[in-house]
Amino acid sequence: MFSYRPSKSFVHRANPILKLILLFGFAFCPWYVSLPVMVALAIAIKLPVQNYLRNSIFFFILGALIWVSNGWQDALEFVSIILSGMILTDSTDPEDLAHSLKPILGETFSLGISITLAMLPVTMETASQARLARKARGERFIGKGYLTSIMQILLDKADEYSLAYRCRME
Amino acid sequence: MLEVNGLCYKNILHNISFTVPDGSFTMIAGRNGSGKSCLLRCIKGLYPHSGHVTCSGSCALVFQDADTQIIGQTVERDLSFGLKCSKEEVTVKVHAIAEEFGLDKLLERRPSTLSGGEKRRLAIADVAITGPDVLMLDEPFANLDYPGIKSVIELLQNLKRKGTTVIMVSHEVEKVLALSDQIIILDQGAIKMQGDADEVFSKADWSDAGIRVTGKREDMLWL
Repeated sequence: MFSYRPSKSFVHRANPILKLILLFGFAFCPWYVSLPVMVALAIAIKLPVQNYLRNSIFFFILGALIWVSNGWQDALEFVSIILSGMILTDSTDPEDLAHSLKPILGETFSLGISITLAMLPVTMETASQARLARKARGERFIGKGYLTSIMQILLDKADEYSLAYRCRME
Repeated sequence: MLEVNGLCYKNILHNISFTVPDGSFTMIAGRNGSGKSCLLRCIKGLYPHSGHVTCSGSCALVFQDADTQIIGQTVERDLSFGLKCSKEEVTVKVHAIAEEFGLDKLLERRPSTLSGGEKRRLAIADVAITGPDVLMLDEPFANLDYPGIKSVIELLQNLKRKGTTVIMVSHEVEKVLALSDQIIILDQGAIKMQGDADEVFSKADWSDAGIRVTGKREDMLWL
């Protein structure tokens, strides 16, 4: 969920900036305009809703709370926004998005997005390996110094990544 | 031609000078922590240093950890990263290099799903696609199994045959000794010995340089 799934649909092929603008545009539309469009797009790109349902409990709870506190119309608006986010991330390669934003926001910003995206899996892997290493050394509860050691590793890795990126950009 | 003159970096490298002729294969060897990787980064201009580095053409560096250099979400996108030409030209270049480096069947794959050897080949291809005049490789055999090492050596042989100037840093000397034209031995940030590969091979005290060498030089191509 919320990750890119390669496909050849017209939504996948559309310009990432256009999709981003439409996402913001639809966020300000009432639910009876945006929701039918989003459902149609979800069908068009064959969004694997069944696979995503398992991971959506948090959104269901949040939607239910909005329904109770603000009414069903706001809840449907919330559903529409979540669905539009899913469609954008499902159909847009983050690298494409970063590349498209280059003429508007400049190369440094675009490179920053690329480095951040590349660092996400590294962050997860580093955290998991640090946790396993601590367990292997007999630590029952992960606590003192855990975050500091991860931050230290990540900062070193970020430095290495930025050097490698600089190399490839030249 | 690449010329390094009086290069110094912090307390790590001291007065390094050497020349790498066009189309040659230079190996920089030495113990862990002798400053080999640092030297490549200084030559590439990633670390500020004193002294002069003159390169007659473009100079590219392949990092020790292939993962840091891989950017694209797929192999194809990674190969096309940073290429400044038309879409059609990019496609042609990417497919040609993928075929050369044996990555043509992996173009749609996510780099994270590749094996260590495939990642290393991709990292070298990423740099080779830009057609550098001088290609520098930092420990290209690190963490590779035998087939992985074999495929990297074959790539290096091809690059040498095509006339690319190659500078390789390694402490696994015997794997590519037969390919080397020049050897530079670093020790504690200074050049301990440099010169023609035959000469250095016969005269060097390899065990003192932290390297185990067995057999004859011409036998030392690890295939």
